[in-house]
Amino acid sequence: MNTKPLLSVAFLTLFFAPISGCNQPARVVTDNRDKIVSIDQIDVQDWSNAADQVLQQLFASGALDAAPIKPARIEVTRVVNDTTQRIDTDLLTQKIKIALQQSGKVAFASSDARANEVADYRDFKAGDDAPRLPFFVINGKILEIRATAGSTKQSSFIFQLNLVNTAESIDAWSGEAEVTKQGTRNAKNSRG
Amino acid sequence: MRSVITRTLLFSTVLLVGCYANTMTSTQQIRKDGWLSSYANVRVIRETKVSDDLLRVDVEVENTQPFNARFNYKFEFFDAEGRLLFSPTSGYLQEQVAAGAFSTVTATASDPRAADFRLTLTNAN
Repeated sequence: MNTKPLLSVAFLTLFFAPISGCNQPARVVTDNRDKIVSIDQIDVQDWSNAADQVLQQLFASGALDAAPIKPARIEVTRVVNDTTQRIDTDLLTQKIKIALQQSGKVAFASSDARANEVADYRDFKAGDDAPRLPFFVINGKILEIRATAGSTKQSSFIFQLNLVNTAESIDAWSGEAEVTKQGTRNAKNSRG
Repeated sequence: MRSVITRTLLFSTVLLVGCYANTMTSTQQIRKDGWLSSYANVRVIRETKVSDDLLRVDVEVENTQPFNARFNYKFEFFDAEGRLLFSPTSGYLQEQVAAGAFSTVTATASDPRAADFRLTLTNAN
């Protein structure tokens, strides 16, 4: 019996199996545990984590209940990016905006120029010249702290937010969230 | 004969390991898998209202193992009719708990319609 073809098939199988095993076809990832964990940058799941932390602090504080009218008018003014990365802070503020709107306690002032123009015109027609002032303003800052120990790298991202009561010009609430990641290299997931 | 015994033992082991990995202990509100099924005691569940009408849940999880552990958890909120409420911040979060220590995981529903919750605890080690 000629065993050469069988040996060739066995060799090819052994050679190509590990290579094909390394290739991962693209897939949609919906579970946070399967998302890539980067040591030195803010991952998509970190934004949710940070937003969740600050929202829980904000709701627990009861600061939103100080408004005389509900929903209270609110605006996000500025969230400063003090990290080494180029990031769009809307990734944080939009999540906070959605959750706060869901709560029914606040209504966000639109930043749409046309919408403001129409509202101004309607106010003018109605003889109402009072400016639409927000009762609350949200501002904040995102910071980064890095550390290394041997080959282990660590990045901490700090998300600071303030809720300003514009009637008294005081910080009615201040919150902070932290996301710290550590390792020698990025991981495909956080399942361990 | 020896090979039959070996195979039987191997098969039993595989079966037992498989069963353990798939074990899911579950109540209506709290689901656990992996080592959490046996070594994570849920000690206290507190349901309170914050900011007038928002449901807040605090769950104390005890690690009964003699070493530090890590787990993932996810809260989901439901309205009175059992419909899942959307949250922009939903998803698994990770928590570390020291040997024999407690860790409190919390969540606040951003939707005042939230009437019930489900907490899923999964192994992260």
